[in-house]
Amino acid sequence: MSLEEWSNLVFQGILLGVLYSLVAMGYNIVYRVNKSINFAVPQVVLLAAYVSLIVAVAVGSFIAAIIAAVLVSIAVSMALERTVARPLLGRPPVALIGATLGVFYALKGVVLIVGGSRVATIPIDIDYYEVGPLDIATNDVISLAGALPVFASVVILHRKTRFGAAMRAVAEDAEGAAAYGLPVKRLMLAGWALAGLVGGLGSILLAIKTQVSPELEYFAIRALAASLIAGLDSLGGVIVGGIALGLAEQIGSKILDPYLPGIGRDIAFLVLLIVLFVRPYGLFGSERIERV
Amino acid sequence: MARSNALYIGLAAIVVIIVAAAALFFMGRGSEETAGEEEVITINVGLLVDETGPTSDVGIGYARGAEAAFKYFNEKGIYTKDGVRVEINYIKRDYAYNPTQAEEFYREFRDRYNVIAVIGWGTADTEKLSDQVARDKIVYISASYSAKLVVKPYNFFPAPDYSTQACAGLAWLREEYGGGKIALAYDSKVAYSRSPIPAIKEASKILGLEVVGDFDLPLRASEADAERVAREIKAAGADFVWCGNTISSCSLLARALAKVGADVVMLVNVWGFDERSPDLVGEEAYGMVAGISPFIYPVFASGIEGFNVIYEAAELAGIPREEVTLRFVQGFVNVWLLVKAIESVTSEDLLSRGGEALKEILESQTFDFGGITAAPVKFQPGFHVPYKDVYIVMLAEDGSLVLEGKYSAPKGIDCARVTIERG
Amino acid sequence: MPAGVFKETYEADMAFIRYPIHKAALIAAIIALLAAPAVLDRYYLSLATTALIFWVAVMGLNITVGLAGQISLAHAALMGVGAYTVAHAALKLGLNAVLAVPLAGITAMAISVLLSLPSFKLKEYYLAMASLAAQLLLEYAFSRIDPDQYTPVPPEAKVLAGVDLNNPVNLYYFTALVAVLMAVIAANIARSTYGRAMKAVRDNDVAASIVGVDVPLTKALAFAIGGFYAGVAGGLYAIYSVGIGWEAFTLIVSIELLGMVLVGGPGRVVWGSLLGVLTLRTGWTLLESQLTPLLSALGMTAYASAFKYIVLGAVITATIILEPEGLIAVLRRVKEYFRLWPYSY
Repeated sequence: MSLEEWSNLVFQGILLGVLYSLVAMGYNIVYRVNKSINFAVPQVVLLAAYVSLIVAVAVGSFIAAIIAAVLVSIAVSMALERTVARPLLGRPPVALIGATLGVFYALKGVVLIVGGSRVATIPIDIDYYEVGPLDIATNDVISLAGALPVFASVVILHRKTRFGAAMRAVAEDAEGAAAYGLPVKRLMLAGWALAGLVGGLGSILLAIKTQVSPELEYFAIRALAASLIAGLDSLGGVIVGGIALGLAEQIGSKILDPYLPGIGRDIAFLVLLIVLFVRPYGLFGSERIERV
Repeated sequence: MARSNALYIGLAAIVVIIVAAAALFFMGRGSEETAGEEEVITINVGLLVDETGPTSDVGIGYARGAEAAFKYFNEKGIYTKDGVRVEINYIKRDYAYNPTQAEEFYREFRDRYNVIAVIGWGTADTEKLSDQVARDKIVYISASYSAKLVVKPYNFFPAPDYSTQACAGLAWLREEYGGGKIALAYDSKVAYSRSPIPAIKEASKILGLEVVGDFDLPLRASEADAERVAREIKAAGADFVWCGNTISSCSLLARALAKVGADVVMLVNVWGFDERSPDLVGEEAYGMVAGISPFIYPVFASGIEGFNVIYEAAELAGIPREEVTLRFVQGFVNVWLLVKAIESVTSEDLLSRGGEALKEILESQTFDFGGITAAPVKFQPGFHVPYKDVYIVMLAEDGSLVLEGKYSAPKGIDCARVTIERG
Repeated sequence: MPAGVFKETYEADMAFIRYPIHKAALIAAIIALLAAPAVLDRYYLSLATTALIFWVAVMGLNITVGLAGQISLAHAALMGVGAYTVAHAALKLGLNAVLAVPLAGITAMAISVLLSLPSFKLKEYYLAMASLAAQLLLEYAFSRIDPDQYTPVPPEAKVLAGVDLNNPVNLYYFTALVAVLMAVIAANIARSTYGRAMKAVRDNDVAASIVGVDVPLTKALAFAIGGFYAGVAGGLYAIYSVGIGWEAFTLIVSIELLGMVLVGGPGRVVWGSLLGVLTLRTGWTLLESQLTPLLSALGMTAYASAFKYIVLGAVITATIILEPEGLIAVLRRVKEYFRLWPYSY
């Protein structure tokens, strides 16, 4: 296989990996504040993508489409925190898993009404450029340029601001944080909203990079796999996990496709199972010590 | 605790009210029907469509066409050979391209509504049910043109099978561009996509085309999938590409082939190319994609009398003329075939023998759709390939659709038989 | 506990039939089960048959999730393993489909034990995700062995000793027999040493290991039993079907099965599971068959399949939030309310 083919494969792998990381970050933030996974994210991502498509076609403005996607995602995410996650605080994890899966199921219906499972592209002009051995399209550039600042701002928000410190305190020990006078419930809501923001941006960038289709649902499930590969509580690890997954997927399907056609989308789960066997709490996750 | 009890009792009450309202509604509707003066036979027909599943990109248009046809013919009046009016009560179900769900709905059609015919959709579900419909004596007209169905006694479709269509397409490639290498891109886990592949491989040998390989393109491919496949096709040095999926993934492949700069001509199966293709494949791919169709596209409809009926029906259903697409036509013609069969039986036969009577009529007569199909429809008993011609439509350099003409499967090979024997 | 009924021994307290109402309910249930084919027409009989098949599957998941607390999102795939075992045994080996059902259970059990391996190390979300990964990988494997999207189950393989299971009434009685047998076994598992060990693991596995419960063995057993039930249910489903396809065993079906457990009553293996199936599957199908014609009369056919997801998803989420013990707890409260009426204190 030629150098050109390899370099394009690696480039596309990294690009998809960055988008995986972005969606995975949404799961990660929720896990940190709530110690729970929001299994409804795949449908929220899909819903946001369809809404942005509708707005982009109706209004004709690309900015309006981004705003719509982000608003929908934040609104749904906050509503979930208030109506599902908060009443279930203190209940065993199976309750939250079941409840968010129920939301997943219900939102699937909403998506069917909003989007009707159609496949379409966000209307932007796409040009192709050749940079060395790489074929780069406008949508590749947009998605990469859109994702990096989001990463940077989330990490800065998390590490450098008072809000970030408060969130980390809640993640570490919610009861302790409450004892210090932190508004834990409001911080949890803020965490879910932030996750919604990141998820919404991830959704629109994904829609630009690939297309708006029900396949985005599986993309978001694979992003959850990326988040577990990295370790649910490691923010920096998510970026590495996502990119590793994107690369594994592209290179793996290139190598395995002749023997196992169409394995590409399931490589993520193969990798996840292997990682979970070797390091149960992910590559960068911290092991929990259980007490009776 | 009391509150949540009240909640559940309330929910239960709502459910009961909905069911009661539905029951009342139907009793009301039933009495209306008997009020008519004319003697009317009501028959039940199932309509199985995919409006939410992986093939909904083409399934929605098909469902609209079929529904418009039912409404139109009911409105206009369907009369049996001996002049008795027939009212078709169609029962529509969306099975989301899940063959198991299709079987559940088929049971409902058969056991609850006693249908005598079903207008169906996909390849897997139609093939799976084909032996069962023969046992139940229910006529099954499908949107799947799979070759395996042509030998099943109760399965019909008003078009050549996929294999014959593909062979005709290859004949066009050979005539227009000469020999060369052809790459086959299709979803290897979808029955529809796989259907014509054995015939294509066999016919390529006769036509002097060299198959360079099978490339797995998921029905719901992402852009990255399509680009990877496009690069592999380019690396294999193909001159031609066969795309055997539906419109979304085939358009993505065309787009990706243009992006990687592959110099190929892509031939697309009937469900993978239509009026939306110019928009979906993008300018870069203009002049390199062609589609196969057993029916003439509505854009070339002027002077074809069959379209007057379709446009009249669309008007009745409140559908503007530009929304009458190839998919709409495909759904419409399937229902039309059933209506034509009903119009050829006697009312006594229809009531006493139902599907069996329709099957005998379908196998004995020639049906003409006013020039919409590439040739008149004539089924041989035991081998339901109604004709062997297809239209080829090319997407020209300027983005317009150009009718290349009518082509026929090459002589010396029976493509449907090849698929039945090898598939 | 009704007045006038006192239990003197532990055996009596753990017996199946404890109160007069149990005897009455059991007799009514048996009569209903036996008389169904005489009362129901062919369509409703097929609904009853699928309800029984899914009851078996959900009982299995209820043992894994409800009793042992091990989350599994791969249950539909395990059903698929059973179904494909029966279909392929009948098609390729010419084996009788009925005789292949136990084989289906054992195959699914073997794969389920394999899936239990992550549970030794993982808990909660990680375990849920591992089973989700297994579900999707199994879906991929199915799509490879079944590229035509369906595998026919030959009708001649469904005849055993002169009994033709292609006949819906025979099939119904056969399914009912298997389902009741599986239910009796499930009820006994819940009462056995193993059942109580599973509950201990569910409530606190570290504490359970301290009091001497072999935690990995218990978890593996819970997965094995769950897998066996799924396999048998899948096998029955293959006998019921003209042909099976992998799209019947996807992730969304796994979510539905988990929903049935949580809505019916987690830990209430027999009756909770039945209630879950009757609400989410049979109940919905009955409602849908009324609703769809209504919607198409209003010109909203496209929404018919969307409503299923919205309504059932809302029911699942609402039940989990409002009623942790499932609908069976509501049923009991309603029963108590009427039993004590009008003096509800």
